[in-house]
Amino acid sequence: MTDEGATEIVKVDHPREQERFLLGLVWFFLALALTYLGLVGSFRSPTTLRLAAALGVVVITTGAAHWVFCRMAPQSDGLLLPLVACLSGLGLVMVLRLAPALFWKQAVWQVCGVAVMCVIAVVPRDLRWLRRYRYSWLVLGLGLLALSLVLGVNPLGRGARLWLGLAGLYFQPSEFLKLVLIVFLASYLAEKQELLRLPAVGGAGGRLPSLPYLVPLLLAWGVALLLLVAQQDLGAGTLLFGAVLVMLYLASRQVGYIYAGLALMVAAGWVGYHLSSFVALRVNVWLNPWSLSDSGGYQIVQSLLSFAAGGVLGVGLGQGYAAQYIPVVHTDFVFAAIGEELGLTGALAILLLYCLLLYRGLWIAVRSVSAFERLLATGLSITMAFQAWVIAAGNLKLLPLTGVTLPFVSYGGSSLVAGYLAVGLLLHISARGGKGLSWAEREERESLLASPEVWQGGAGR
Amino acid sequence: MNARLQQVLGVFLAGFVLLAISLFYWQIYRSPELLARTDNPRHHEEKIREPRGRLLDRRGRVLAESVATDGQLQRRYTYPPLVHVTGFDSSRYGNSGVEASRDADLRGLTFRSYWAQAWDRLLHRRPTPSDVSLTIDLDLQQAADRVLGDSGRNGAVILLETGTGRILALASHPYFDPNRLDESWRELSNDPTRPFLSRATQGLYAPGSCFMIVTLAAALEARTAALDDVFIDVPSALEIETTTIRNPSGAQSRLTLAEAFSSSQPVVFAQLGLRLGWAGLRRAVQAFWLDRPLPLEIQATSSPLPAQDLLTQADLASTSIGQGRLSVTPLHMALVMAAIANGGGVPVPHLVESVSTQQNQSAPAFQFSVLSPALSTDVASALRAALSQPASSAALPADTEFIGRSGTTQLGPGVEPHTWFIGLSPAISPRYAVVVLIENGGSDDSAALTAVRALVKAIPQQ
Repeated sequence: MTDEGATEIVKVDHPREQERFLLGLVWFFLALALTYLGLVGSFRSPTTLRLAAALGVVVITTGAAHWVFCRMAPQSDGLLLPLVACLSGLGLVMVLRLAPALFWKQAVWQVCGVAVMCVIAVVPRDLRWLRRYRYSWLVLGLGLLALSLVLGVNPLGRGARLWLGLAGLYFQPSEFLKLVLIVFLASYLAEKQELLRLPAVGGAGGRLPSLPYLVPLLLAWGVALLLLVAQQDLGAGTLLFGAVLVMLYLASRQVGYIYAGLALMVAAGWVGYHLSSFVALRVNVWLNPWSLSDSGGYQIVQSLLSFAAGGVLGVGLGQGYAAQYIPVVHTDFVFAAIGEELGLTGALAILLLYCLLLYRGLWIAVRSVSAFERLLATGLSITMAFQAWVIAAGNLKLLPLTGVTLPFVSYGGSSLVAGYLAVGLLLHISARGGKGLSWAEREERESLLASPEVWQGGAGR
Repeated sequence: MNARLQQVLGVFLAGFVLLAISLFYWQIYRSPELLARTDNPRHHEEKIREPRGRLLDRRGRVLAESVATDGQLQRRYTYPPLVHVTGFDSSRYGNSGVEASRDADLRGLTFRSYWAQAWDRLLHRRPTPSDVSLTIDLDLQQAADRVLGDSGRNGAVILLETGTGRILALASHPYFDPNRLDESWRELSNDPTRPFLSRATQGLYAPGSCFMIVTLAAALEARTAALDDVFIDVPSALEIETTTIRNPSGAQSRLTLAEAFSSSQPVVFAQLGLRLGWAGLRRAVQAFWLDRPLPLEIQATSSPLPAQDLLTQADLASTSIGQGRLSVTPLHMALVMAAIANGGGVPVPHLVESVSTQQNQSAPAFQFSVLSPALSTDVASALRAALSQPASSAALPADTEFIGRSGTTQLGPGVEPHTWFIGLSPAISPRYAVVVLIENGGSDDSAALTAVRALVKAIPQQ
């Protein structure tokens, strides 16, 4: 039954069927890739057990997730699970190829991640529990990060000490801090967005709005950034900065935030370059790796060589040399390994998958039922897409290299689980979305309520 | 909100398009340049995995092959003294010799059409390599190396089949061990005896008295002299401009050209050269292909004469006796002898006999052809007759096994002269040309001659 004046959103009628079909395609593709890897017979060909295990893990976990969604969240979005299954399946294939010793760990993290995603997606009711305890979550996140500042280790034994380790399993708090901060931001902005939109001083658009309302926000943000900088985890810092800026812009409609933020970022970069030898090294290597090709620039030069070797169709799974010649290829430089083995077509396909993920997340945001959910969905999608973009750009010498992972594809337990958490949240939001008014209607209604005429009209009565 | 979300989506999509452009840039546009860089490990990695054909001698004995040692393929050379012919194949230093000139065959690319190769590339299949058979006969080669080894000096030996142009033995000392190339590269490069130089094909030496055969050939061909011309009152020394040419055996009252050739009389040949003139000598140099690059599978140096306005009559005289402005390689002298044996035509020299695939399909690599018709048949037979006359200098007995001349090249006071030997075998209707050069071998050639006799004896009689 539709109200007069309310538009029925065009929905995909059978999201679970779409999901089933796409998932089948993804499984087929993964089976092909694993068969190819097994037949290549290269010097590090994985055992049949591992190949079967890789396929098995993906099929069983995603199949179970599909079954759970059928039972308990039948209206949730049908495109997200296949997308994520494809990316994480490819991630398992690449771990099998590039760092076989870490394969079982990644498989375990995959199971954990999918479990988390299922739980979050079907938890009943809305996400009030996230909103209500936002300060608690924030404190927990910052606390874990502070802990890693003091007790942090690095599983490689060198480099930035960003992990907390227990019994051989390593956990990176900054991944979860990202999520926590986005949740905090979303809930805060959802409440305050009318206030943020009102003009601080009368005048045309482009002004900076009411600062008092921003204070708690800026505090949380500032502390997180400082901690990250102290740990030299510049990648996570950049991501957080960017995500917050975009969310502020979306909530407040003030472009001024973006300009101020960009200016701040450039200034911080300049200061960092001159104060920190670490930053200076990264920037110099980015600008001219060729002259440093046997010291600091070695990684990026080998990465570009891997891309060049890939050509259009790639050299074939298991037949590239990126694995042996790029240090930490399984985390920071997976994209280069993919570029070599799957070629231009493979790399473009991966980028397309991330674009689809972003698009779908924003689609879910548009169809969501509350301001909080809208902001949350937007923040999560943008962060994932931005992260993929930053590391791909680092591999291609478009940006200096940062330590972020390619979501779902890089090896990394915390990154994988955090990614699945985010997708779980998106699925949850999508399950409730699309009912009732469309966003166009809701927007109109809200803007009508907030417009000066209404207030004046009310005051003048 | 929709509009702003669309803006954000648009910005991100633009960012991904930028990434796509960057991918195109590195993977296609700058790809060839990047792949050619020296710090690209892929060249080396491919090389140690790429199967490569073998190099065989005439009778199928292995000279070079790829041997698998723990997952890697290494090139093994079974007979290092042949390194100047086989060359080496190294991922760091490239390849040389037949390994270089026949690289496509050794990698299996010649019997595959363009489309077959593209199909192989798509399936990541390596083409089956072919084996390359050389004209070298390992037994004769070992005898040639013994000639040089016994003399204890550096030099070169060439054994050429005159009717076909096949090179049956090509020895050049000093040589180096290509199996240990990577370790010894630096000391080899700095070695003053220059082991990388293939003396047989690239070493330029003054030919000395052995060049008189060329002057004689030129004179006979140009009809400026005949073998029974008589020279009267030959002085013991001839002065032209600032050069003096002396006869070691003193003044001669009367001798024929044939006798002068037998006893290697420098003054007579200087006079002969002056009579011939530069035009005649140049024609001979061209006819014997001394001044142009030879179509050989390994590098062979050519030896052009300087421009005419730099040459004087004194140069003419000294060049005619092989101590002037023309240096030759042992290969050049071998080709000269081959022309004399052939009845006038200089054969195209060859080192590669045939190329064969794993399925024993074999394709011959050459056909006999004449590089240049240097002499007319009667001149050639006259020269053979002249060579058959026993030389009165150096105890070269009349022999049914070979005819020839030995000679020395004066290098100056205090330095031992180079020793040359040029010959044809067997004495009647010769089919093989032998050239030996021993650096600083001195005037005594008896040891060399004994060794050459052994070499010639080793040639299988057919």
